[in-house]
Amino acid sequence: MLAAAIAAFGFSLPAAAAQKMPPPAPPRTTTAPKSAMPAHATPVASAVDEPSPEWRVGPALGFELGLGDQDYTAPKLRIDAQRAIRRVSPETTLSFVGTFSVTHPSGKETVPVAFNPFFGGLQTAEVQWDANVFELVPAARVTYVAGPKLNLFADGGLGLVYTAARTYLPPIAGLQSSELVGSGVGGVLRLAAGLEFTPSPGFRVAIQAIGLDIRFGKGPGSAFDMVASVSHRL
Amino acid sequence: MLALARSALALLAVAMAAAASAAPPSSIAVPLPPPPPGTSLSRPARTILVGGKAGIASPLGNGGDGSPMIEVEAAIPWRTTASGIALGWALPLRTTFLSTTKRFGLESGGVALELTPTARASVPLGRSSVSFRTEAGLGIVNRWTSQQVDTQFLGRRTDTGQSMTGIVRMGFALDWAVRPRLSVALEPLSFGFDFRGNADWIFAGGLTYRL
Repeated sequence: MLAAAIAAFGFSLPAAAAQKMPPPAPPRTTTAPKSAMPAHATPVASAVDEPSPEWRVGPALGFELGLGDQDYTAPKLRIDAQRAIRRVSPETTLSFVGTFSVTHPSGKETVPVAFNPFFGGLQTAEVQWDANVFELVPAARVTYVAGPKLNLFADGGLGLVYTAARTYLPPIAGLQSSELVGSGVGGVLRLAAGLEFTPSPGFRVAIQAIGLDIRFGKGPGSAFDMVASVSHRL
Repeated sequence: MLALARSALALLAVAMAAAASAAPPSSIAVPLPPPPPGTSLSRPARTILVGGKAGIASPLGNGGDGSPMIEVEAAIPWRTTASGIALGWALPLRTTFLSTTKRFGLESGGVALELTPTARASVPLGRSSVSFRTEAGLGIVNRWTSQQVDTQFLGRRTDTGQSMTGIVRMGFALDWAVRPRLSVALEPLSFGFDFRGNADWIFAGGLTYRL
């Protein structure tokens, strides 16, 4: 009876154990519905397939390139917290990734400020600007197992961006220099892809080869970024 | 009649005796003996790490030149995770002497004081006595600045100012335990981003002592 039940779930017993079992009872003729679980999806197998519910946290360092008129290259720091949610397929896992990042874009712009009535032409000034961009982006990450220790991943997330900026206006045309400080809040759509290398179960190195931060609202505009990170299992 | 009164008196005496025997005895406090020596329940003193560091703070972007920085801190360990990450808290106090910077011919300088409560996570590197540390904190920074200002017909005058704002600081460091109580800390990357658009990169090193 027990051997039949085990066989019905797809297990195979060792020969010695099978010999010690009593002969299986004849099958019943009841019309019990068959289990919705396929033969290969045993309870044990589904438990093994579930990703381990653990957090991975680590810092990341990279740089960001402004798009369009925002021509800048800025360092970028990030803290990532990742937790596997479920296995989508034998090779693919869906995870939650929360990222907090900070970037410091800056630049200089030469702008005409006044017309020189004596010598003609426009008088220009170099305006300097700096900004700190704080981003908090919860995202979904799909990880594909490409090798025993190598994964490929793709991220998609929507978050908030807070920008604190200052602009330095030089003294010109009889005006004193001034520093203007402002801030704004906007949204950001983050799309990214890269690869993960896991040399040991606890330690992981990830390289986000390409990332696109599409920002809307008050902020420095959209940007590409590349980031390398290390993370450790908590 | 007398017999009736005598019987009632006897019944009353019996009832009072029964009530007296049913009353709970008065509680007597028995003092506990003193605990044996060495078995007191007092908590052990908490480990506190104190340290001092010095380095260079370089403004990012259009901030100007690098400035000397001095830091003192106190840190306490929190817990160690099952995977071996040592978590802790630190309270560093940094002073940056903003160097004199010329901007469009006008000099500016000042002093900054920063207090940033910080969360830390350290991972030992293999079996060595070196550990990799990463940290992130949110604090406040106060700056006292002086700046030359062009004044028409008068030349230049120096204005002073003061500003306080929040700051986010994130960094990486290496700690080398040269003695059981003494560690050498090297912090090559510590980035601070404040809420007024200023950012800096601090390269620092120092010592940490466990009290």
